[in-house]
Amino acid sequence: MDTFTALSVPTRRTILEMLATSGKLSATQIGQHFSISAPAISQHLKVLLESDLLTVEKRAQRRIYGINPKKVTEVQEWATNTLALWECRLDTLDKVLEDSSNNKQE
Amino acid sequence: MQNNKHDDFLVTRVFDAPCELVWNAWTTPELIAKWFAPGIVMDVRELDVRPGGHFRFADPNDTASGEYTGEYITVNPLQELSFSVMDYSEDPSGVAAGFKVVFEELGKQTKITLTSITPESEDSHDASSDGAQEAWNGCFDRLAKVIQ
Repeated sequence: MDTFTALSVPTRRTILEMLATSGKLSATQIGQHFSISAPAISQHLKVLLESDLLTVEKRAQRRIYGINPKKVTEVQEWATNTLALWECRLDTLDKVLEDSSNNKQE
Repeated sequence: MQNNKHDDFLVTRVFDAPCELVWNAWTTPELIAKWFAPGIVMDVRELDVRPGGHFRFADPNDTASGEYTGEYITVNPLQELSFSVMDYSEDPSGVAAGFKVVFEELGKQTKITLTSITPESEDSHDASSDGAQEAWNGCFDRLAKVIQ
């Protein structure tokens, strides 16, 4: 599962934010924050797990979910690098536009 | 929590140039060649600016790295351009990233807003349907604060 696809749905981002804030939670605890069905929550958790954004551990009969900081950091790094590249591109574009404007005035 | 539209952009920038010129800088081979890879004038091998059309760029001095390729998704002249690009740096099979650029005329200036988007609607067959096309990066700032 592609990480960005996993992150493309608001409910899944909210789940990640909840886990980042609250630490580890069970599916039931996560579900209490949403007005959608338990199977829908479970489906979202499955997607997040497959994309490696979550960790899961079994405690007695329960599955406890947490975020995988390593993966989240990777995603952040991607965003930071992408941002830096675009900033640099747009700086260059600015110069190209300046040159084009000057050429027209000549 | 369901709507992060206010913070899902990557970059906004105002240029001292008319909208038509800024649009042309994105859609004309001679112009995009000069800025898309800073420091390099790229070899633009294809620039088919229409929905479903492809672009292919290469560094003329680096034959080893292959091409930088992508596909246009939305093309609304002087208003919006969205496209997906393939990134082979992490995964040899390639990871698609999507970007949307919105152009706005502000008198003699032009503002562009660059947003990261999900390139394919892979979520359309997902059990969840609550906004599969939403941009994904809205939560980075908040996540960054809490995981540190």
